[in-house]
Amino acid sequence: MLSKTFKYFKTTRFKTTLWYSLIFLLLEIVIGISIYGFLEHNMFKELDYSLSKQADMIYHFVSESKVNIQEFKADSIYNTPDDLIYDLIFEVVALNPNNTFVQVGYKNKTLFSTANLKNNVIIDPDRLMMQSGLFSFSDSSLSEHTIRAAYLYKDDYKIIVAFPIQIINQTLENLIDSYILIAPIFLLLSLIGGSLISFRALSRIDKITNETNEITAQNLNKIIEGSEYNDEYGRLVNTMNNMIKPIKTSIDYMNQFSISASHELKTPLTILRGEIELALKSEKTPKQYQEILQSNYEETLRLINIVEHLFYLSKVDNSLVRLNKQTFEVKPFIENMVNSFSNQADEKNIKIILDFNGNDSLEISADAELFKQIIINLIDNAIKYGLESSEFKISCAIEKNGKVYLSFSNYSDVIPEETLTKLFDRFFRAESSRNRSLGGVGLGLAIVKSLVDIHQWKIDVKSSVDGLITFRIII
Amino acid sequence: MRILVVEDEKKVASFIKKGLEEDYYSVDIALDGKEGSKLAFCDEYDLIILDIMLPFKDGITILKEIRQEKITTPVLMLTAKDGVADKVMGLDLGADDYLPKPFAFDELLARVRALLRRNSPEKNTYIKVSDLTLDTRSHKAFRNETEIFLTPKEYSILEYLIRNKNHVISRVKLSEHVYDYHFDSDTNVIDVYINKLRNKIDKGFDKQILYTIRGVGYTIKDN
Repeated sequence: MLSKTFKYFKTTRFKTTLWYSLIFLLLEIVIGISIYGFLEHNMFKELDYSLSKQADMIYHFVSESKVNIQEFKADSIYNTPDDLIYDLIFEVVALNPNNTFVQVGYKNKTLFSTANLKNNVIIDPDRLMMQSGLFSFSDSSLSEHTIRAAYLYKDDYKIIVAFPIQIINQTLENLIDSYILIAPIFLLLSLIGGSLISFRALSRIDKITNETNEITAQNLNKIIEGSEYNDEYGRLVNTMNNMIKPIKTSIDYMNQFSISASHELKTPLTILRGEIELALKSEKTPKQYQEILQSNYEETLRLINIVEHLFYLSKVDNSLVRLNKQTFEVKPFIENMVNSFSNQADEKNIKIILDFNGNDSLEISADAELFKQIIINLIDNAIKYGLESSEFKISCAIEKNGKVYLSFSNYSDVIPEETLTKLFDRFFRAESSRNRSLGGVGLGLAIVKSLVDIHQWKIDVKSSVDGLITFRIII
Repeated sequence: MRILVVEDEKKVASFIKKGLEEDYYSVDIALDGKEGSKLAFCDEYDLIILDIMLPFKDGITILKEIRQEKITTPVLMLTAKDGVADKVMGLDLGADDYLPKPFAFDELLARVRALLRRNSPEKNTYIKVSDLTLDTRSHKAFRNETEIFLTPKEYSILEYLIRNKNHVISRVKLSEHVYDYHFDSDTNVIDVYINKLRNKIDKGFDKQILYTIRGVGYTIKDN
């Protein structure tokens, strides 16, 4: 149970949900802070504007002597200058008059202050011209106020209009409160949303995983479904399907190869086992024993031959053979090889002709050891399967595109077109029993092909109706 | 008992022939599919040992053909292919047994014995007629606990007659089943062997079991 929970924490689904929620939460916080900042800024800006406007209006009102406060006379409407000012001021004041503090001074003397200021005086910040600032003052008998005030100094008049900012603070606090209240709901919603989205997105991954799990070496024909979608998953499925194909090809090839290899190894082993068992079963004459030993020896050599060829091929396959390129003349090189085969060629009365078409001094760049192996295998092949008293021709031509064509033509039994391409297959023999008796393993041409591939050359094979078979290396 | 071995690898065919001959069988060899098929159709064999991978005509095709022609000779498939599918296909097409290479020779011999006794009521290596017992494994013959010493050819003739007891076997048929195709059946060699055999198994015993049917051939009778 615990390990299962831990496992869940490691899933992409959990991580995606977590990231999604985290980003959602961060976004919410950023938006909240922005709204808070924007609101605070705008509210103070509005307040400042309104306060300074009022201060300006009060100044005009007082300075233009519409009412002479200094020479106030009580009448039926206004008992004190306060009343008059109160009335006059609040004609122009837009804010709640009960919360607005107004203080008018003239030449260092307080001319007037609103009743709600009681005996308090808004402290003069010693500034000239219209300015606004935030500061606080306290009154022990009343509650503590933080006010925002606008100051206007003009023509010996000093006009201060102030407003408590508690209301603004209250609004902002409410905003924070509601955010705190909403946050857990937001978090819950983002978790649900995140897990839903990641579930939807990842369920196809699970499907692909399950389908991929069903693919084993035995059923590589299976195709993962969903490649028709043209999205990331479709592409993933496509990529995986495309990946399976070459794997299948190479597994099929390997299976075929190991079947062929084991078959090839089984034949000499069958002979060895059978002959030895028979020899041990009953007493034989010394001559019979000698025959059996001779045969056993031949089969052992055959086994060694097969194993060596296989080992060489696997080395080539695993790129353990290093290309050690050098430049040398082709003709003397091949002549050398041909000479070493002269005995075998004479035995079958095969005439070897070298025709380089005037390219006698042609040089190529190749790994001499590997090139030697290629030439030896091709000559060996030509002599082994060539008809008696026939011609074996090695020729060379240079095409206009600068490519060198090295051809090996000999006469043999006619090989059908469809088996021609199989000649390079491992363990393939055009005709099984006859060629085995010649000591072939069926790997010579496969090795030639691998070595040609290593040099990044090409090799092809053609045959004509009269049995002339031509191997051509394109360098 | 005459056995046909169809196997393209000369040495394999050769040691199988030698080994089987040591066990008193007469053996013919075919080195390719065409010849194997020809021999299987023309001659009468008690068993065919058939390789699958053969030049010209593979073993599976030969098997199909002989079974289509209602030739019921037991067939032992012998091959390097040992996949289940190959075995199933071979057996379904009418092969009686399947032996993958490389095989133990004793196993081959045991399977040959098993296939040859397939149609007889005895399910061990002993075949009997009256009080005469033949051990097909050690190639020994007994009559009432008394061992009778036989030469390989005598043994082969006796074995064939016992396996076909109560049937009259012609000279030609007998020679076909105890000799390979190098034997010239015109000679009276069979008569000579029958005489020797009669001296060994019937002489001195109360009950006669080997009879000559004049102008037809020979038979071994149960009672």
